[in-house]
Amino acid sequence: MLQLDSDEQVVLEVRKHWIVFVSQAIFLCFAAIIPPFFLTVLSTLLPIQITTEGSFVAVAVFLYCLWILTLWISFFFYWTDYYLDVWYVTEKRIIDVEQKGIFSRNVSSIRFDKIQDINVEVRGVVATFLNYGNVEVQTASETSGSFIMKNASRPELIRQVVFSQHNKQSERPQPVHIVSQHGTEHATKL
Amino acid sequence: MQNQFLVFNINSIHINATFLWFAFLLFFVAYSVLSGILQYHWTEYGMGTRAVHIAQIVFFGVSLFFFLMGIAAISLF
Repeated sequence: MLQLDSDEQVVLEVRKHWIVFVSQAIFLCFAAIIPPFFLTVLSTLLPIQITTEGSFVAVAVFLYCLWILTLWISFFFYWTDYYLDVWYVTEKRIIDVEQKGIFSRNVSSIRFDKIQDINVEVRGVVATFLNYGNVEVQTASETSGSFIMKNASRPELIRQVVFSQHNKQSERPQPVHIVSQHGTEHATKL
Repeated sequence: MQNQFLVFNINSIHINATFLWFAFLLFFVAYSVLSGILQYHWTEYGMGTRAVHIAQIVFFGVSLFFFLMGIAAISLF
């Protein structure tokens, strides 16, 4: 589970647009209607005789149930991959959770004071109408590089929220550490 | 010389209730393992959101329905 600070709240969750998930999952719908055609072709092409002790319809229903269950669990694997690939914009930072397939996961975060710029790219008619595009957060950090979310939903809103949180963060008084000659450290707010 | 162990000569497949139950059991075990993996991801990384709870209910509800239909089909076989 993702750990947030006690005084930290999620302001915005950023995911890829639903069209990305739908375009991945739509072939499962076509796959659901394949078996009747497949059986017809198979019975004519293969010289194998299939005999049953009981009802052939019951066998067909049984096999079709297993097929639908296979597609059903595949659908949820796609959905999980889509849903867990997310940015959490909090009051302090952006947390990038990158889900690559089901067994690969990378979590990184960037504080607002490290953000240099945000690029939003909406390309094409479909992307313009459905309001999705690529969002790139450029950072000053050498280790993090930049955060990129491709086909993110509502990219302009993301930029607005990140900039507004960035501004709030920079306006907030920061603690100043004063070190005395004796080496003791005091923190005070200006 | 032809290796007799590598020759498959299948002309017919005979399906009986034992065969169907065995197929069902194998499928059920595989499905349970994969469901466990999904469940782990939802619990561990889903942040307890409403969407994840709804996904769990829909996934297990529909799965149960199709498993019951499969069992009914074998029973009526």
